[in-house]
Formats: sequence, structure tokens, C-alpha cells
Amino acid sequence: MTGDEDPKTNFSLIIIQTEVERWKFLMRSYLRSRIAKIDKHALYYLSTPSLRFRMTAFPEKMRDLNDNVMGQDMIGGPDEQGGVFVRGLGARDGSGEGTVVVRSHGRDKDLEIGVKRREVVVARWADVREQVEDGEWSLFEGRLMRCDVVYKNEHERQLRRCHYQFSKTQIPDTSSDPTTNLCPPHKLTLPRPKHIPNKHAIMILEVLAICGVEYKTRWSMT
Amino acid sequence: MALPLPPGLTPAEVAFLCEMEMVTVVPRLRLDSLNLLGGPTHVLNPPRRAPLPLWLALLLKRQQRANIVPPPWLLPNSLEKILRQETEITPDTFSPPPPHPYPINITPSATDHISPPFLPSSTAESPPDYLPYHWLELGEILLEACSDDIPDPGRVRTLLRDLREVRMAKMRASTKELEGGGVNSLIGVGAMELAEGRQFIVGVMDGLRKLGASREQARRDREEEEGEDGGDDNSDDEMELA
Repeated sequence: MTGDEDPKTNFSLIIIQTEVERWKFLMRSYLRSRIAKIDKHALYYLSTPSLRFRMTAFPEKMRDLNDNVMGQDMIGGPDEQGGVFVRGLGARDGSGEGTVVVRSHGRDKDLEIGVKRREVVVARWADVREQVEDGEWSLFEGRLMRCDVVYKNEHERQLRRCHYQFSKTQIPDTSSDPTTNLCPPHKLTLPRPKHIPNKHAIMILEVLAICGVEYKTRWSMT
Repeated sequence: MALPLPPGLTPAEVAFLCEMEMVTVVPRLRLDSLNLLGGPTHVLNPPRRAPLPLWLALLLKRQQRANIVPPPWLLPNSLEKILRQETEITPDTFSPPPPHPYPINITPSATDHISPPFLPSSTAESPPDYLPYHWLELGEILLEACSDDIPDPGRVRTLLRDLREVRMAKMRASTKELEGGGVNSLIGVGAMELAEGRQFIVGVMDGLRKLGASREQARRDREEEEGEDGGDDNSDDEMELA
């Protein structure tokens, strides 16, 4: 494609390259935020079994580092009660309701509050965690990479849905969510667009692998 | 080591997300659909309008290959209305966000839980008189890149600045609500406003929580004593005293 002299094709190539650059930006900020989290609370992630699987590729012998001989945990974790910004997305129980109810804990009173779809609230992470994990709320920036993409396969001439589905419905990433923000290994199905040059395809796959993204792909790397 | 940035998004990341918003363009060249990683683009067939992601629209605009149709809310009339809403009608809260374009039905669908930038809130068909989630970035970007496509750009710029100041004051004032704890609603807030206010607001919230932790614990213990059958189960929320 690069050898093509047709200016129109060249312009398409510029667009494609721009998009690949955008992907690189996205992957870099995702990777950066994950590394920052691992840096900050490395021992906590390594010593909590339910969180450990969210990190890929740590050697076995590095995984148990706690020393609580005296009954005192040596590992400080992130602040479970820390404030986060969340957005209501609507209930997921099939009731068709747009409002999600949250039990909030406060200094002077505990309340039950209904949060509308699209409403943005500040809340304690512990109060909203369950709903965020159910996908009823999104952490704010949790949307950084989520997209449901309809991709047209050139050969089969049919529309295929491809989900960049990170965790259940969203991709936690750089947000202030203190713990689960190190999101589980992801499932990713990505049909290989014909025009992506090999070096870019390899680059994308490498970045995905570093980020702990499991991908199913039929891309051939020849 | 990763660069120790504060939690939340950097302004560059917010702008990046904003560039995923769809806008309407009037193309000046023919261009077939391209299969990008983010999905196929619309076929460009001048002078027919087409929706494109903002980043692509900007690329075309810079090369003089398209004009961008400003979203209806970015017109001076609409901004004036929003400003009036912000200052006179609801001086304490943000103006409401645009209505969700896909109502929730009984049958679950893929559109039930999408949110910006994957909601079309800045195309030519989007509703006027509501500020979308990425209003500030989008307004700034469009004013910079295609002020020739926007009617009365000077007026628009002034109005955007006014809106920003009014809303910044509201954002700062919202910290007053944080004292009692619990959930504080910021419905209608914008992405850039959140990015810049996050650190402060979360800091205030966490600080107040720590200061009030013993008082909160005492209240909880008292309530537990008073009504064992009050249905108030706090057993799963042991306050972690920091």
C-alpha cells in the first residue's frame, strides 16, 4: 500500500497511521496507569489472591511476601474508603430501571440514594464498589478503552461485532478506584484489519500482552 | 517506575477521549469507507453530511478537505440559554446533561449502558441547550481548529469562558456538601472540570472522612444498640481507621 502512488490511497494511509498513533497513545496511558498502581501497592496485589490474577506474568516465588507473624499485617493496601467519581449507567437486573440505588455511609447519617442514568456522583469507593463491578456504574475514566466496535470484514462481507471487552462491561484504568482498578486480564477479540502493517500489528499485540490483555486473534504474523 | 501522576486523567487524556466524540462534517472530497481499528468510517460523498470522529474530522479540516458543522449547543443562542440556566434558574447546580439518546427498554440492548464519548452528543442532530460531557474541550478544539465554520466565534468564546467561570465556582462550592459524608451528586459536570477538580475534591473528602471517623463509628455503634431490628446492617462495613 505504501508503494501506491495514487494520492487518494496515500491519504487513506495517513488516516490509518493517525489511528494507529492514537492506539499507541491509549495503550501507553493504560500501561502507565497500571504500572503506577503496581508500583504503589505491589505487595498488596501480590498477597491478595483475588487480585493476584489481575496481574499477569509475575514469577511464582515473588507471590508471597507477607509476614504477619505477630498478627499484624505488614502490607498496607490502598484506601478502600477513598473518594471516587462514578457515573450511573442504569440497573442491570433487567428491570429496565434507569436508577441505581446506593447505600452511602456518611459521618452524620447513612442514606439510600437513587442515582439516575448519566448522573455523576462522588462517593466512597467501598459504597459503590459492588455496583461498579456489576457494571451498573462506570468509574469515570473507566471508559478509556471501552468500545463496542462493529467491524466490517472485507472478505466475508459481513458485519461482525468485536468487543474490546475489558472486564465485564468496562475497562477500569487510570481512575482513582484504589483496588480493582488493576483490572482482570481481559478478553479481546480483534479481527485483523488487512491494511495494518505487520510492524504495527506486532506492536499492538505486544502492548496488549504487556498490559495483561488476553487476546484471541487470527492475525498471522508472517 | 511509571511517572507518578496523580489519580485521574491528565488533560491530554481528556482531550484524547474528547476526540472520540462524533461530529458532523461536510466533506469536500470523495473518500470510501475505511476499515479502521475503531470500526469502518462513513463514506464521504460531497456535499452530503457525514458523521466522523472528531480526530478524523480535524485531520480533514486541517487539509481543507472538509468543513465541520458545529453542534447545535455551541451556537451563541444556545450557549446564552445555558448560561441563563446556570446563573438564574439553577444557581446552585450544574445545568442538566443532554437526555440519553437511547431509552432503556425491558429487553436489554447494547445501547443501555454506553456513555460518552460513545454517545452522539455533538453531531448536527444533537439537542441544543444542553452541555454534553466533553463540552469544554470540544468547544476549545473547535474554536481553535475551525473558527471559520462557527457563526460568531468571538461571542462563542466569551460565552464559553463565562460558563467555565460560573461552573468552576459551583465545583468549588460543591466541597461544602462533602462535610456530612455520603454521596454527593454532580450531575451535569464536564470531563475537564472533573479532571481538574478531582484531586482537590477527593482530597477534601478523604481528609474529612478521616477526621470524622471516630464520630462516625460512635454513631454507628449507638444506632446498633438502639435498634437491633432496625434493618440497619453495617456489619459488612467495618470502618477502617486510617
